[in-house]
Amino acid sequence: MLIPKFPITCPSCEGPLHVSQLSCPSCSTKVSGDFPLPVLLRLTQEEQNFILQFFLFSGSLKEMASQMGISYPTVRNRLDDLINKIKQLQSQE
Amino acid sequence: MKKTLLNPFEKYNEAQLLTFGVIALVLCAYLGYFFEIRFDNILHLSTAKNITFLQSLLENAVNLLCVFVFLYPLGLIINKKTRFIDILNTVVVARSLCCLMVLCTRAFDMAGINETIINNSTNPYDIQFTPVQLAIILILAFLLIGILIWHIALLYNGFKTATNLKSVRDKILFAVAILLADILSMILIPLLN
Repeated sequence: MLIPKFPITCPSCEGPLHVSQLSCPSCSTKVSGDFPLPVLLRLTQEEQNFILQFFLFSGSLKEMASQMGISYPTVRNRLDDLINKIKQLQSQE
Repeated sequence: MKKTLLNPFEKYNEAQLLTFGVIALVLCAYLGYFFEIRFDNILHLSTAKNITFLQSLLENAVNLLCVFVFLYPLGLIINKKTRFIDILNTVVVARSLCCLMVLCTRAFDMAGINETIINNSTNPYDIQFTPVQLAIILILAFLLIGILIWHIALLYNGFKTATNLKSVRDKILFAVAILLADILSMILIPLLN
């Protein structure tokens, strides 16, 4: 089954998207408002996957590097870049 | 393939890179001894007579250390998490290209060309190379320049991977470090003899 990609930026002006409506699939209740996306959801799919992998490997960059088939400093650099990006997103809130 | 040749540091782990680098270093030293080539500084070769394997190995080691001594502290300044082994691998893997330089230098018969230059050393304008000699000089020049560019690219990519290099200032400092390493090797290598 094809899982649609979760959009995080506007396809028209590339600005950040907000959640304006949430619905319950079992009782069809709809909740409307203006909810900014949580920081983690404002990352790209690849970045979210990276964080998930980091978590699943209990924070071991060495194991991650070994499983991903890349070198330890490359994994560390990606983590550092991601940390900087998240700090920037947090400071914008 | 292109990525592996220009930036093996992203793909291979430190043990693999170090093993390759050390083998290449020893091979380089042996080729220098066998083909009578000296490694005057980090980016230069010259011919030599009666060079021993130990001398050749020592010259390679000194050249390697000269680069390391500047790149490692710079790496720590740029990124506190820079590891010793990553900078060492950068230097050792980049140095492996000297093997290619030695082989290229000896692949062509330079004896006739050297003789022409020596015989006309008093007046360079009298030097007349044959078309074959000119072709050899051009091919060798392109090959060696290509290998030199590859060497610098490996040093840069390895350093970038080890330190997560980003700013222009840090890139300029990298270039300055290489130049200083070259100067240091030019001072230290003659002291070995």
